[in-house]
Amino acid sequence: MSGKERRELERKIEALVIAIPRETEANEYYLKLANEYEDPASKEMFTFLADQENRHRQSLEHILAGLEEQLAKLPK
Amino acid sequence: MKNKFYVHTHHIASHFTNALWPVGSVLLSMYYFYGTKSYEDASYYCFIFSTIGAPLALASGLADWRSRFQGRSTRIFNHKRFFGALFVILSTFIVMWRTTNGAVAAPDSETKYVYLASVYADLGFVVYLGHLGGKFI
Repeated sequence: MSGKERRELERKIEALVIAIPRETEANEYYLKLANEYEDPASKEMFTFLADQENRHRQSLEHILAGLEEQLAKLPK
Repeated sequence: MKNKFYVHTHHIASHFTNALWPVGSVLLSMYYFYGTKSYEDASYYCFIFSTIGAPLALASGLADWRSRFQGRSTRIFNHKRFFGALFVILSTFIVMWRTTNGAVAAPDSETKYVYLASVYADLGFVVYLGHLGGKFI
């Protein structure tokens, strides 16, 4: 049972490890666009989107830390 | 900035490697099917360029893994490192063997089956590496 549980946890961790840099890259991309546009509406929209991506990254990092903690508790 | 450089270098180098090895393998198969020597020569050149790109793909992949993914050890990264290193070693061996012995793949050569098996094993590795790379897109 713990072997199966371990593998499932590792798969979830792997998905998050791959997803986190994507959120960071999306955040950087939207921030770059926010800086490029002069009109306030576009600037506001891209800043909002950048902030959303930043929140996603924080959520994923929080979930990842929890999963890694669970994994560390499992017997080897 | 450095992260982007690693990612782009990895994509460019690995696409060269991933494209040329299968093409070389098909050309080698065509050599046995049609008996035209130029197919075998063409496959050899494909293998050379694929092998040149492989260490660059591996090194940039490792640098990207360390910077973007903090060097975390997961199944995908472990497999990419292991099969990437295996591909570099085997492709270098194949190219060096073919360079030092031009008749290694000849139909009457005693070693042709070992050569073919090595080429197709490396084809399997490069396809698997491409499959793993696709999971990041």
